[in-house]
Amino acid sequence: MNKERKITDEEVKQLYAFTRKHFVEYYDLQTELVDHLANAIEEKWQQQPDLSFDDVLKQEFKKFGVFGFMDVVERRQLALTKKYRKLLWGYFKEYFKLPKILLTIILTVLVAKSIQHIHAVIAPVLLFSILIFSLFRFFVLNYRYRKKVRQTGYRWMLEEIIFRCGSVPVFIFIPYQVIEYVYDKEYSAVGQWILAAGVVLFAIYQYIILYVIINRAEVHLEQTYPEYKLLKQ
Amino acid sequence: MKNSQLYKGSLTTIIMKLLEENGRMYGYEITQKVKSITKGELNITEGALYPALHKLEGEGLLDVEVEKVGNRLRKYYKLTEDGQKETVNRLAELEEFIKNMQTLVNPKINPDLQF
Repeated sequence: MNKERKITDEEVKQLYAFTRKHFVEYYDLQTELVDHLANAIEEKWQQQPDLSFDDVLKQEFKKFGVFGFMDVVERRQLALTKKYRKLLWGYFKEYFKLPKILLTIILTVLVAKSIQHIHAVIAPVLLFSILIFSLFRFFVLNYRYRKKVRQTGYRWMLEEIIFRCGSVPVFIFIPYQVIEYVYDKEYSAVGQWILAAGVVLFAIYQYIILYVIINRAEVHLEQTYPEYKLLKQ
Repeated sequence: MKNSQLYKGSLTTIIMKLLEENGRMYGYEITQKVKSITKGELNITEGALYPALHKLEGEGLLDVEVEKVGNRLRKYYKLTEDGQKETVNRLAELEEFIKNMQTLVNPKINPDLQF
């Protein structure tokens, strides 16, 4: 009997389909699991070359435990979400270092002065406008991402996290209470500055998750997934 | 993994130690290596290995490379510079732990306690 029985191209396709069937929707994770299963099956064939592909696959899949690949997928999601937050924090910090800190200061002064000299309602109006705009941008990004997945047929976990803004709603920061609270009130000078800084921080945060990281997505994806570049060639 | 509760905390250290010795490795290779070194006594389960690898990668301790091998893509892991430093720390910590456990479990080995 053939001692060197190897996984065929067709069987590789079947393994990809198998991972998809077991709720692994992301290409990066599928690829790793396909190689793992293929290695395990080939190893088994060295001892028992007559076993059918399906039978060995079943045996090997059992080793992943009762939840199959689910645990691997969930923990991968956690690891990449953490990575996303790290990226986000890295960009956010830039706005408190030269030269970008100048922009942060100028914007804060502008908002504070507007509150002082025009009207306190400026703050909630700004917050609300940023919010509406962010919502709009969020839906555009989601549409763009879905379209790309349809075209390429590949889903990458980090890309999805980036385009869904960390899988946490963009609006976790929703300043509703703030809007309610700040509306129609008189502020102390310190209160005005705090409010202005809050508006500017909110704007910077939204700008980073909705523009900065999105524009740098390719770079981060290529760093995280060497196969991303391989597939593009 | 055999008696997982006791080994669980050391899984990442085991992975890092193997990568330190072997340069770069892929997931399946790691499970087989552990099995052969421990003569089948220790068996890293797939469900534990990949989350541990992804966690280390997320922490910036591991780097990945992908290569086409035969008709499929293979993902290799290797230690980053930070990972190499961290391996030294974690191994020292693990050795200290083993020493303390030995003293606790088998106090007769400690000559100070012998008459």
